[in-house]
Amino acid sequence: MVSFLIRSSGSIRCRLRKLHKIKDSNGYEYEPIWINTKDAEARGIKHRDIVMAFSEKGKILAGAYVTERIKPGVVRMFYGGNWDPEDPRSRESLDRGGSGNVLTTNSPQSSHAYLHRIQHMMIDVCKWEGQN
Amino acid sequence: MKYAMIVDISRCCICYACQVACKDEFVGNPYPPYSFPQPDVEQEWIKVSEIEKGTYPHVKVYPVPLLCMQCGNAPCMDACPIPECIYRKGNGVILIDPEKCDGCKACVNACPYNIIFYNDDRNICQKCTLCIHRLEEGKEPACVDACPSSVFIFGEESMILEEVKKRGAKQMNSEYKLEPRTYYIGLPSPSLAGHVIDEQSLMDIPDAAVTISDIKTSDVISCKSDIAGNFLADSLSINAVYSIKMESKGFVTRTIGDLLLDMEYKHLGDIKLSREA
Repeated sequence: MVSFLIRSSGSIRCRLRKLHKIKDSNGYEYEPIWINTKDAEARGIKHRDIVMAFSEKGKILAGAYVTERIKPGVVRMFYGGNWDPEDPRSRESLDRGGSGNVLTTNSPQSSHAYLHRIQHMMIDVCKWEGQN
Repeated sequence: MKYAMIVDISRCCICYACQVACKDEFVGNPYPPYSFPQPDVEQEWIKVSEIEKGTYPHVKVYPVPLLCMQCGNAPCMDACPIPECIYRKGNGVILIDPEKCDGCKACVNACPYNIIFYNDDRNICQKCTLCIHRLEEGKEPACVDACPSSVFIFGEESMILEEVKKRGAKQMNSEYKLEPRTYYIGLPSPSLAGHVIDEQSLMDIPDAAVTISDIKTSDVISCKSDIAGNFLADSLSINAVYSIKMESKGFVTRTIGDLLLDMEYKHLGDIKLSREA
């Protein structure tokens, strides 16, 4: 199954960044990713589980926020967190911090606006059972 | 003089100003002898918990600001093994003495509202102090002061109790029988919603009179659709059978009978009314 990532900008939740982080048992703070109840059930994901989101380009870890407020087939992350890869020299390295830029394409929005692509991206989400 | 509070959920615009104000007031700021600083994560002395009802695409979110209820018979005070560690001030505010607390978590487990938090770093339990240091200066609590849409009504208990009667505020989880002195207006209750539209033009019908009657007990609740054609009737009872009558000027009255309210928030979707000939 394929999900889409919408990177929305300008959310009130960004200002409460530290409050909405999802902690794992070791105390590491993950960026939350919104996922519909049906999608979460199909993937065996529970609320506040640590999940891996991956696209063709990269993979990140995030905390699942299971909600009815998002459309099935879509996941959402507000901006993303600070880049915190396992190996900073490798492009394929798993990003623990949950930076959205790892998933999205490197090409700019247009030749006039050198911004990252903040709209949508084909990604999928699975439960992360690796070493936290 | 004792303090009490009403929280009007229906006015909340989910801006989190109360939560931010609480962090601003307490993170890094000790207020001896009442409180040690609040850690910046994992503790929300006031927390706007967004309670979701219904399923996609018809979802209703109730933003419930949850803070210490200052219960009349507080289970945290009974649970605490240390004498005079959790005590009540003369103005009714329950406080945890940060010097005496040894972090046994008895109060954390005893609180049914889960608003007492354990602090790993200092090995103490902490909770909302109703900004007692501000009350002593004659100010309102930080959350009440910060709220832009006047969700909180804060004041003396006798004044608040009058207001409670007038506006029909309720205690949260009154079945616990803890006599909390924080009252809520618009708590989540079984409710029925719908969207009334014109069959021909598919335009919203504002001010349509909606009558919801319980078939067994013949209780009647009436409401009106808003400017976008949406209506919402709350305080219904779950697993009851209702019939819904919608009438508007220039339209044929439509009745939906034998509707079982099987979930806490049921949305009927678009209800089309046909025009009168």
